[in-house]
Amino acid sequence: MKLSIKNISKTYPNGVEALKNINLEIGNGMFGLLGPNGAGKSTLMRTIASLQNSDEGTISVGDIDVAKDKQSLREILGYLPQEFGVYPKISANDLLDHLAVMKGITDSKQRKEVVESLLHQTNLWEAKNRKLGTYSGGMKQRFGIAQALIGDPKLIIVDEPTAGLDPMERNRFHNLLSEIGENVIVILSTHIVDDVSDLCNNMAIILNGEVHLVGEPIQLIKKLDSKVWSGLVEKSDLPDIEKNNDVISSRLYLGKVQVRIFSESPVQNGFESANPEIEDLYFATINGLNINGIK
Amino acid sequence: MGLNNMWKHILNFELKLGFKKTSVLIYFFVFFALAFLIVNILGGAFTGARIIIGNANNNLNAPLVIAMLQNIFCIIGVLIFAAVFGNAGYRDFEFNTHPLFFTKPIKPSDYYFGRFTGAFVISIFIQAGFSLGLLFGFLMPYLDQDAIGPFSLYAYLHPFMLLVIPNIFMVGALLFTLAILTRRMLPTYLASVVLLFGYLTSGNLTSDIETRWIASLIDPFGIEAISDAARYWTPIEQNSNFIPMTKWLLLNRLIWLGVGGLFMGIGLWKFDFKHTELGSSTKKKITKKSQIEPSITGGFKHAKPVFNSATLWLQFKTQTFIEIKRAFRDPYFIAIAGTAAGFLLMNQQAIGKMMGVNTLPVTYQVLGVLSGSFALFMLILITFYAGQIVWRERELKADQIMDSLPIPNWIPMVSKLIALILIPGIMLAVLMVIGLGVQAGRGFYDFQIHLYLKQLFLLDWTDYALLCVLAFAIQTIVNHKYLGHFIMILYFLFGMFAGKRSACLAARLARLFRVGALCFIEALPWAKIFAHWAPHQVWLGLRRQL
Repeated sequence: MKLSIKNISKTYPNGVEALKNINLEIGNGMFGLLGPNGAGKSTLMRTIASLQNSDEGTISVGDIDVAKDKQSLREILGYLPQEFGVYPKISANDLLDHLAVMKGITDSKQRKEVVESLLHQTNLWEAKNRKLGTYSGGMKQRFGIAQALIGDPKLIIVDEPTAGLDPMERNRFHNLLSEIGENVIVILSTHIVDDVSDLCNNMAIILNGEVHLVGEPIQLIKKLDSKVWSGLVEKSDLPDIEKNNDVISSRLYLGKVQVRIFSESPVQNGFESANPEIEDLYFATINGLNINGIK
Repeated sequence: MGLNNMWKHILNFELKLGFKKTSVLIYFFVFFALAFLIVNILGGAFTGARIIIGNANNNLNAPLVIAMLQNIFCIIGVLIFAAVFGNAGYRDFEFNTHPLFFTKPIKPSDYYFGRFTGAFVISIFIQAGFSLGLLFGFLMPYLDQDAIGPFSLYAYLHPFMLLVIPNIFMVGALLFTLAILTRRMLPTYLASVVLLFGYLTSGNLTSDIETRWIASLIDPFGIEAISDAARYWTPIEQNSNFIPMTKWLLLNRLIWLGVGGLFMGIGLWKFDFKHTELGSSTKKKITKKSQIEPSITGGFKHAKPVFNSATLWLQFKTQTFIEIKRAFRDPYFIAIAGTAAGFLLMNQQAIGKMMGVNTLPVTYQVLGVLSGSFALFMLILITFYAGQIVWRERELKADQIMDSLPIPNWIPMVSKLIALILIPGIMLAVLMVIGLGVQAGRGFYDFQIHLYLKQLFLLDWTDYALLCVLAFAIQTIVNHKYLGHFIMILYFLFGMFAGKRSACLAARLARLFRVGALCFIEALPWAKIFAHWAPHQVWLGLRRQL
């Protein structure tokens, strides 16, 4: 199955242009949507999830037109919103069971199995009878993941799924997703580069409502081969370096500044060739560098 | 800015925030329009319809009438004050912004006073809308000028200072303290409903008190004290006299200002900048460490969803069941039902007395008294719960998950409506039990169950169910919870002017408000049309939205 997004634009009543002519083709497997806060990721996710209409353009999944046939889309959808609440006075088990009915798992024995396996998979089994109101942030997030996976969805949309998870739980979630993600479409939005590099076989970088870069991470990185240079410099030298080079990123390291530079030719002053990473792609795009041949 | 002026800064911020709110402006204009409308009806702007307050020969704008009207709508306004004061006390907990404010170097008392004063000023502003509406209304040249006395600003200002402002202070202190100490909104709403309903139903009790000065003192809004002071006025005095400062009225005001001060004192004493601690359930030991299961694959169970008519039916059933469970498990529903039962029991002494003559507590009499005094309460309950039920998902922020489920829109809509309609049904069942209990308690065992069932469940429940549909539709279309509440209240007020049945309700309401002779010469034809037209329109609009 294929998700195709054609010419999607959305302007909010307050004048914010959240999406500007987005075009994407997404097939089975994990698709990472990477972008800083406020880039328009959540708007795009909500639009795909049929919760919001775009001003222009069409989205189709297989032969379902999302804006016209919401019911059909929702029958194959698993959705984890970025921010969500739960009924505080009901247990995780009961709410999952209820949501499973809503997702069309009508056989009660099957439903019980599905709910129980999801509770195990998200490590909520021990707490399954506790009221959701008493859950911690990470537990609530895992509950959100569990409900998104009910009923073998063919299209899974998870908006910042790892927010608030500790490293172990994040690992578990990655494993769970990669297990499911081979035969269905999984769209994962995140501002955490590692989520994408660990999981996704396709990705797009979205910035100010526009898609800036799209492709397979491995191919994209290849194009940066031997064009990324890394060096450790004094803080006071940074302004000069920034003026004379295409700086991808700079971060503090042991009291000095670790600088990565994009350059076709070697960089002087102790800079060495470095292996390109997805993070370099991300920062180069955000910083508006003209990384030729990629765009 | 010194820390001493901190509460003023908080107050300014509060006012800036408050006057930017559409709901505040809407409340103001609705009150203004309502007062203007009432004056027009009083002044005979609509042919064939007229209300007369007090003596038929009195001036329409006699100071006493103006005072009474302002005070009555201040009492109705309690429901709005609950929203304003409740919001001021609860907002930071609702939005989880309290850690931001509580960690600033300000004194809890500054925070408390700033927030309270802000809500106080905003409430006075809203209430002033009503007074201004009266004032402008009476200046209209097309009204029957023979019935309108000379204009006097003092006639508006004096009761506003003497009655309205202290009443808002007293009620506001109670509601605000409740909101900020419980850190919830519902106790505040509950208190406002109990206050309003309790006041209205206890009217019969206080006017029965033989010793008038006691009645004058225990009426928190001061209406008893005023009607007592004006009881023996001549028609000329009624036209021209301002509210006299009798010692009982003065004492009444002092007592209830003191009560308001007491509420504030309790609030200040108990309120502190502390984090909300969750219930004990979270503190239970969590012994099991979260362990990553060795085998990640294999544990995942697959199930193929089925979507057919049987699925729809099952979805509908479970959704309805969960809505009903949530509505009735709500501790506030139980509290409200209990309170209502309490008031009914208080009111039951009226049964079996007709014109002072004792009669048998036969079924139609019991039903007349009980279901009659229950009507207003039901209206409030339906209005309030329609908002709760329609807004639940959005308030919990669970709407995105719920909206993305593969179920048709009618399932959540209909199941919510069913839960809402069941609420008055349960209340009527409570009423029936109380009725039977009252009869049994008086040794009257000739129970006529079929009469109960017919009156309560065939006639009354059908009426309430229609109201539920209306309230539900308004909440869905207006898309603003408090505005939806207010439109319902307006609808009831309009309904009072239309039709015979609602005229009874209006007369009852008037009696409850101790207004005395408030009578309807003829129902307003346009109001009647409105009352029938509005639900129809709303229904059409709802269908269009789906």
